Amino acid sequence: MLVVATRYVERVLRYPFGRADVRHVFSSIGGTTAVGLVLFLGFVFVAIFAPVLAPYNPDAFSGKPLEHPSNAHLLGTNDVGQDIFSELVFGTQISLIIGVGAGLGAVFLAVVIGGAAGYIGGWLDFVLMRLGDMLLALPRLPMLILVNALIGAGVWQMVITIALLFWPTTARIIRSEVQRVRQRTYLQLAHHFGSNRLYVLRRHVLPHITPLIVFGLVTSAGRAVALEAGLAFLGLGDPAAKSWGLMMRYALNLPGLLLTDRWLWWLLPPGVCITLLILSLTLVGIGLESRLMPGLRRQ
Amino acid sequence: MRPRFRSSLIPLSIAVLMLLFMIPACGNNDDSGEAQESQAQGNLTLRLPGGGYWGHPSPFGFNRGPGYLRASLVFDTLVWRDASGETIPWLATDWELSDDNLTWTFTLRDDVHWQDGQPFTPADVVFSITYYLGNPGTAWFMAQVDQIDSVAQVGDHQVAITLKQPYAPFLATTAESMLIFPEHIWAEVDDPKTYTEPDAFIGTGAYRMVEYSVAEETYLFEANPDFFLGEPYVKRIEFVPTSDEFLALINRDVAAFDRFGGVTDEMLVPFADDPYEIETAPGEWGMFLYFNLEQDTPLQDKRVRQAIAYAIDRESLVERVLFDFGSVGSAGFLPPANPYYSPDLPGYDLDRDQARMLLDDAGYDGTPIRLAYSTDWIMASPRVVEIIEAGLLEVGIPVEHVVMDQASLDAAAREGNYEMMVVGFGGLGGDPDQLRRNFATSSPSRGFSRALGYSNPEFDTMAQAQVALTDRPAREDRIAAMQAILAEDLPVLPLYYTDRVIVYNAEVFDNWYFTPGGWGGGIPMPYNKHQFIVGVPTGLDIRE
Repeated sequence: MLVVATRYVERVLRYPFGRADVRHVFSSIGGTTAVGLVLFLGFVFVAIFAPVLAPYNPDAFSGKPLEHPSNAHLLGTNDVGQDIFSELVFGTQISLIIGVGAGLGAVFLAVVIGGAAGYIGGWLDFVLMRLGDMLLALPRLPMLILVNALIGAGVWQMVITIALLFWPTTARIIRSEVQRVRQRTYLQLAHHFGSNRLYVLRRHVLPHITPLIVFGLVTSAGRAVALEAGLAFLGLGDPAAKSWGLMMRYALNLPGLLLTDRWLWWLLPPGVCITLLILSLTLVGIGLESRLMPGLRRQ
Repeated sequence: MRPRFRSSLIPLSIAVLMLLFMIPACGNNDDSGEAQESQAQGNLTLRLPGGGYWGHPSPFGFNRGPGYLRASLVFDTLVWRDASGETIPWLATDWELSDDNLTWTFTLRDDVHWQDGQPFTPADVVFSITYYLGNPGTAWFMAQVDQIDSVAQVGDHQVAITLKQPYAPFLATTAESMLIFPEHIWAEVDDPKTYTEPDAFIGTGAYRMVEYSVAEETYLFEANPDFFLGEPYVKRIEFVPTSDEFLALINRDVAAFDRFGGVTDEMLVPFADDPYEIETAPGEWGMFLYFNLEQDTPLQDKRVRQAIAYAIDRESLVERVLFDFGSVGSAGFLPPANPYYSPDLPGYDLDRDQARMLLDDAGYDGTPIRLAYSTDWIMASPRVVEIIEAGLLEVGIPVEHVVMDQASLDAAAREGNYEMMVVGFGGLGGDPDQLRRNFATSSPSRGFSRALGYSNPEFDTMAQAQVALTDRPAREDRIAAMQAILAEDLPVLPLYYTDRVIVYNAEVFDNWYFTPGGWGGGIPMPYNKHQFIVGVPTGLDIRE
């Protein structure tokens, strides 16, 4: 889906009037973006096929506690005898749901709020942007801890909370872009010729903010993954959702973990996974930026 | 208008990476080694893992056993206990019981001073007990002060404590755990639990409270040079938070750590050689599943409770939560380490068919049952709950989770605000009168170990009778019968008992022991203040 979105964005930017050169679009996906995308799609693959890839149900007590890696348990077992490799595979689902879910939510809010603020302007603009400033000023982690305490720590609560916290950055950018586009003469003309607002928004404004939407999605998703891992690590996540952060917490709960080799197969793998997932999103973001931003500036 | 993601996301991912590689490095700070002066230097400081905030160490402000430990450094009791497990003189040098088994007369030391210089007198003892009696709920629940009818000063150095009825374990529970506090300070205090002025921490104890911090979870005590036995052997005791006690001991950040369950031989390998020493002791700390019988739930039916016992794989709990360093709970509540433990009880070995049959008999309709637990501290409850829930689901009992912090959980336990609750506590090696305290209908106790809503007249009769029995075999019979009733009725399902271990650096301090039956009325932790004060396992002579 991201590939399609990326291509669409690039097509729109390069050929705003709809003349697409398919081969050119293919070659225009840069190396950085490609690496990021491959990594990310790898995680998506693992998440989708988790039940096939994981040798055990991650909740099942499939071995003795604290087993070393073996053929039966590639990464050994955790403190209650659950297969660590299977936990890792299923943990991908949670990180992706939270990352992508919170990213989409944040971007949706950003488009609606930023768009409304930029297009309608006036007092609505003022109120929405001050609300955004307020949320930006709030420290994220303590805020999330508080919200968690109030509404519980389920996966969906976390997605919604992160989305509610992350929209302002993207909304600001979208707002200013919408404001800029709105001033264009052809848009003023379209108005005078009687085009309705929704048509103008969809036909003329949306293509301009699409790249910003993709950035917003990628950046918010990366930060949401990190935030979820951090919360789970602090023991504030959903205790039933065995995410990578929660795995690390359980590993470090074992006293003396670092005095043996056990951290190599219990603590390190989830940490590496978190890092790689965030890295993949970051790479996509960097790639898109260098491709798309010059185009924006030219206009 | 460039989105600022480049500047925020890359550091973020780097931070995660760094976090990973920093964790092993965290333990390597060596700056605290100086705090651990060697024993030879005569300025012995013990830094110990604190495990959290346990209230303020006044006679009224502490929480649970670890809180009592802190308060017991500052405040004394009439008698105490050493490594022999026998009662030893403390504030009282001598005691005797009247022929009717009702009046205990204690002869008090006449050379004791409060830490503010005021002399300690029998009036202080009379005041303390009168205060506890006049303000029910202020004394520590393990002290059983409600057994006392009255107290009076006799002569210049004696107090006479009269009981409501003969109470066999008086010396080992009440006299040993009831903290004595100064009349000249507390006579004017209205709300003892929240009183934290500096003079709230003035006792007769071997240590002065120097400071404590709610936020940092630290406590600092210094030796009281005017202590009645002489200047204590250990000069300074600090309780500090640790993220990993094993690493902390290796880095000499702490002098010792103890674990209740959850240790394997492999984990202890780093401590196999000098200067480390390892002591173990059987379980006097247990994890329990409490059924609140005050509330109208399917748990009212004994068969449902028995079904739950058959459904939960308690062997698996011992294997997966304790790493086999512990034992399965006895349905009669008392652990094998208690001298009064009865081995002839139904074991409720895992049998899910039996569980389903009992549920059918009881007409259980699949009503979900709420399970309260805490994820704090030593509880390990998320893992415990995982295994409990798996067993209950297997026989068709859905569970709703209620997660609380430890203090809220203890409060909910006292207030009866739960249906089922996973709660752990110690004191199980202490006097078996705890069975009466926790299960008898008439028991006024509202501690977190009190079974709510349970009433069995047969049990009550025996519980009342055993209190007065000073004849050991006769009392043993009664206690065994009481355990049999509990095992049948199951107002509480004992899940497991944790074996105990203390690992210490003998170069810093070598006099560690587990007190038989626990100290201060049954506390199973290896931190009996006696060992810090005198520096040897038994007696009152302070080590040179």
